[in-house]
Amino acid sequence: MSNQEKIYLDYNATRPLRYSARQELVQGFELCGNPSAVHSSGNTIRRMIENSRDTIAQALKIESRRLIFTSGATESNNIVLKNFKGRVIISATEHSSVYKVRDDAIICRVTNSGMIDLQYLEQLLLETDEPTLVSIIAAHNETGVIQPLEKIQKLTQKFNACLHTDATQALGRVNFDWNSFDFISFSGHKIGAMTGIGILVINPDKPLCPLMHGGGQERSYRPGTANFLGILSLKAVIQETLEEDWSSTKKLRDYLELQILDISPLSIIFGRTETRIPNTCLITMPNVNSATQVMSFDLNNICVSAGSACSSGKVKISHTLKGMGYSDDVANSGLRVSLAPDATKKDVDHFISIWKKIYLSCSDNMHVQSATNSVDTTTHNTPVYNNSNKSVFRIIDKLKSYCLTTGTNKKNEFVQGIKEQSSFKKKHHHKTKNKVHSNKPALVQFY
Amino acid sequence: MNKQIYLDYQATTPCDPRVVEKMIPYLTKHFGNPHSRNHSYGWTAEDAVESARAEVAKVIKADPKEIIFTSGATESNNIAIQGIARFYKSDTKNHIITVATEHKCVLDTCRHLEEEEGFKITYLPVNDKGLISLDDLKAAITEKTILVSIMAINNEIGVAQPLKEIGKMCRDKKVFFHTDAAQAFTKIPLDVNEMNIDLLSISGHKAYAPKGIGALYVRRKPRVRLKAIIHGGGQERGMRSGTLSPALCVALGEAARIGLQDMEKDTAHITKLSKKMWKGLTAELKELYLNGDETKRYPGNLNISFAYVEGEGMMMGIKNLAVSSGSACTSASLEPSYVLSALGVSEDMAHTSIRFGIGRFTTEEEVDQALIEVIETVKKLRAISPLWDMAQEGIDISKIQWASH
Repeated sequence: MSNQEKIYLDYNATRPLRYSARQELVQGFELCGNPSAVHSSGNTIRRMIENSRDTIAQALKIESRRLIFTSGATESNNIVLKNFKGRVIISATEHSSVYKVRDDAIICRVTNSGMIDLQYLEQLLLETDEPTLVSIIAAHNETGVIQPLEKIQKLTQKFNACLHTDATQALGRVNFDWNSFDFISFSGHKIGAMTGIGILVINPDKPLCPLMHGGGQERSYRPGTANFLGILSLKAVIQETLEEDWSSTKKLRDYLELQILDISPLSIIFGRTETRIPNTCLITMPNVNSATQVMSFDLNNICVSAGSACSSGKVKISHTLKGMGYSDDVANSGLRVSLAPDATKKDVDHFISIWKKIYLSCSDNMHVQSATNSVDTTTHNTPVYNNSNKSVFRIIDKLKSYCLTTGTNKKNEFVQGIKEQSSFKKKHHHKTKNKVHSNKPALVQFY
Repeated sequence: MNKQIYLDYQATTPCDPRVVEKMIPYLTKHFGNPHSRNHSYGWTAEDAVESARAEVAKVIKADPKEIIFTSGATESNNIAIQGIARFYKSDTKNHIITVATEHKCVLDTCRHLEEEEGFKITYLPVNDKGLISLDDLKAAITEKTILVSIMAINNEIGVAQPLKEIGKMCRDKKVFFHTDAAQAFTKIPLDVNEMNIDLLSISGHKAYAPKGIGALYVRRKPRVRLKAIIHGGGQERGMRSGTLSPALCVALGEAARIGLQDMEKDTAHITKLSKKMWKGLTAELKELYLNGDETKRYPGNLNISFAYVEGEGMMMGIKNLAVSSGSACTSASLEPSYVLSALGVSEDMAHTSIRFGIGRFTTEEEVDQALIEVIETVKKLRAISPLWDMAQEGIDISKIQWASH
């Protein structure tokens, strides 16, 4: 089955390169020169990079000297956090490229709906006069919840702390005054530019120690020959990204959620009560494990994910949902749907029908469906893998039919993932990060 | 002639059209995130990344599992040196050996480790040919040594260090051996097992792939461990987090495949043009000095000092040629090259040195044209140089006592 016939509902993982970027790249491929060289071929490249920097800065309403090109948001996040001398406060739901950088990071709790607890944050800021960096994700990659960055900014200003935000998913989908934050990470491939390019917005007056050392490019904040094509693609897409209209996507997303709640009243939509980016929905399918859901959707030519892409293959519980206070059981049945700006009702309807099919194929749910709505709300706390070995076999059966139909060679990985999950011991969530780290199950090695 | 003749293949190379052709579908059709392991968009991207990994591995005779993708050689060098230094540091192990003529990113990383993290660094000297002495290396390795980092081919002067002998010595002494092979990858035969290399840095844009992609070879048997410098999703065996670019990985893979397949052909072509260039220059001009060893070098790099010629005048005179007068990263400054200084080249001679980089797409006509322009410029500049006249009269310039004004 070719990709063209598939419905891609995983826009938060990555999105296709925009047309404008492709056109820009065609031109870029023809040019050769090292931007640091003095001759005119090098000069041309350097000028194009600097023009791109200016264009992007203008679009974001930021001074162009504040923009540093990096290899992506993961690197940007690491540059800000890794060598910060002082306390680092992050939220419990940060992306792993923030969450895993510092073992000594102080975790600020979030509400049940994924919102940062501002009072708690203030309390943390009050504790000492030590230099402090606060890093809060602008819009969440899994739940889509948008944080009140303006309020957080006022707090950090009051306590003279630095503020960093990972705005990977927020760019183009939330209107923030970007100029008011000290540090911001942006990613290219999430807005339709190339993968392998990102931006770090810096505040030249705030401390920042580079991760890498070398030729002194990007004013020594980030050495190495710049990803010229990546920069061109970013320049090409920035304006469209900021002007993109997501209103119809939001309507479709809301429609999708209502339809699903109609089929399965016990489904939980994370962060539904908060303001979210318009295309994202993280929803549980009671009694059906995330991995099973994703595989089954793929069998039906729908691409979705269980959470962020970097961890989606690892079949382990997202720290985000744990941070929001949900049990492993609930977290384990979550599915992330992230719609395209040009998503159609036809696609969404198809998704809903498949969702219903997968949902009802689980016998426990058939029971729920036939019962009245006043069903015992604890039912959804019984995920498949906890029942007995029987349920593991059920998944493996599905897998077998999957492999037969697709002839895929991914079978071993998947089986291993299932095995790991079925032996995954229930753990209670610890507030301190080190604990979480030490209890980490061995990851499946794919290489 | 309006278009510059590109003779700066050490700074960067043009993308091979075959590489571009291969990568384009991954910019358009197959746009998936290679780490989305549970749907087919992700799988297509992942498969492409994995075959690219295999192609890269093949060039250096490594196992694909031993290759991690990075954003370029600067990052690879940083991960290798910082990563290994921090992982293995202890009270009894804190010493790193490198060479005075390494690329800036290796030297800067070492300096950082020395100044901020308490490591001891030995910077090995080179002889006037740019080569290290194995005896020096042997003497420098101590009980405290963790790592030896020596580049395969020098970016400024093109000399090739004796990797096999260095590797054997490091293995015997049980220290890790890292080599920055940015200039050597697909240019000369490399074999990580025969050469006992533990870590090897690769750059895409020096090997006809685009900028923004590179790789690092990390040996698995015996296992070499690293402390990552970028944390996150745990991609690339946890050594380098961040979403990989399938298009850029595919490009590096294809560049590797082509480079390996065409290595002999390219080398023959480049050697021929390089000889033509050197013969053409020496036939018409006197007092030329080739910097770096004449034989133990990569032929695509001709770093030449033109005596009695003023450096800036030279660059202005040959502005139709895209050449460098030093490593690209530092050539925007006018300080004499530290590499040439390490060889004992005098400041005057260092200022008049030009690096001619010849590559896969350089043509005979381009070399002919370059010869005409260089010879013309040098003759013109020497004609107006009082120093040249004095030298022709037999006066030893270096012995002159200049009066101060």
